[in-house]
Amino acid sequence: MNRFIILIISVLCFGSNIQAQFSKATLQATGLTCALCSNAINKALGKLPFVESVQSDIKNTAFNIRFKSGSEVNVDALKTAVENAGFSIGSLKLTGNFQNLKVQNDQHIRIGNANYHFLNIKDQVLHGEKTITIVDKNFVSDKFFKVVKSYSNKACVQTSKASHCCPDVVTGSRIYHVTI
Amino acid sequence: MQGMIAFAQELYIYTEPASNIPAKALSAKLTATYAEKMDNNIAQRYTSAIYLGLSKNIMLKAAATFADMNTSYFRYESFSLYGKYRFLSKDEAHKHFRMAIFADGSISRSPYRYEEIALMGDKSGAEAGLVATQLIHKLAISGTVSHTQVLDKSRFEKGVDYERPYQAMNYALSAGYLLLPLKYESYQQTNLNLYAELLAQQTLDKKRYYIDLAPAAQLIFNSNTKLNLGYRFQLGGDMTRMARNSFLISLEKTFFEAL
Repeated sequence: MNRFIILIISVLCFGSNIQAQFSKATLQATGLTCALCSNAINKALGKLPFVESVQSDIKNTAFNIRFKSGSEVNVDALKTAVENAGFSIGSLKLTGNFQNLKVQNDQHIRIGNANYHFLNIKDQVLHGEKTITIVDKNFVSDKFFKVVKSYSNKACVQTSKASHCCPDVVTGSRIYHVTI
Repeated sequence: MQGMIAFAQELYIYTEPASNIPAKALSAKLTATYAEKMDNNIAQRYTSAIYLGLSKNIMLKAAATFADMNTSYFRYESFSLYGKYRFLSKDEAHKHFRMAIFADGSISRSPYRYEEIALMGDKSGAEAGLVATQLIHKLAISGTVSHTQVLDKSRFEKGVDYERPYQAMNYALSAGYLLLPLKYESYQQTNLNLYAELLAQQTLDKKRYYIDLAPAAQLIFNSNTKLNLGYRFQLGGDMTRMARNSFLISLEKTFFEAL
């Protein structure tokens, strides 16, 4: 019985490779004022397979999204949903539960099945519930993206993909640029 | 009778904005137009249309009209196809600037009765144009310019010159304002938008013109259904028309994520 318990605990601690899971997000959309437009985005986000629920703040054209627990969040799918509805993302903040994740400024790190590149932060250890902001092109305003580009010399910031700048990441793969 | 295609996402009663309906959305619309004929009888036209959001940038519309505007009895009148491609979109918080090009074609059974050039039921032909829209908070303003070629068979009859216009430039300046609700709380609130559109046409071969004003009101229910009420009347002009003023009422429902 004791060996069985140790086995279960071992699987729980080391069996999953995910060091973070996103539970919810706040998405701000741009290019709209009215409720019918907001409803189009609301419906598009709600249809994504990893989304549990969407709560709309029509006045601020913002959406509070809850993700299905245990599912992989496809950040680019959130942007595609807003753009297919006819609009753009002004900001996207993801909240997740981190387990002793060491992050360094202007460095790549793999979280779950995706590559991340933390910008404009102090080197730190993320533990517990934390919110990160996506700062890739078309996830922020064009004006703010100019500021984001100044956070790093690496070419991946401009293209959102790994290239010669990032020997530690497979060339061509997606890198999510984030800040805290 | 209508100079330009009438549809709007949340905008405009007599023209199209530079925006499209969402990708994968389908809209169904029924429009009734009433005008007073020369003999004081009421002429009517009913338009049924389906809009398809093919992508975030491309929208297609198919429409059929049934009327007695150009004939003495009510019958099936025309079929038309319309496409719009949004090629520019600059979005900011509660603001956007968009531009689109559009083209449409129509096949109408109506005889060429009046000089006014319109494809939605009146005449067979093709049109292409450009529209730009600026949204600033609750106000949306659009400018539209287009060129129409009438392809009525009378144009191609050899040895006959009817001295009719077959080519025109169309211009529109449209404004819409979100009046209600004062504060957004839910998708179930009824919205009220007010519109004013200036619609003008200048024929190019035989020179004629008109300029109309079209005020309108729009109610939006459940953030998916629109009820439009418009009145269009001539401010000035020298071309023969079926009527110089008309009433419009239309109902449109949008089905999101339908395709």
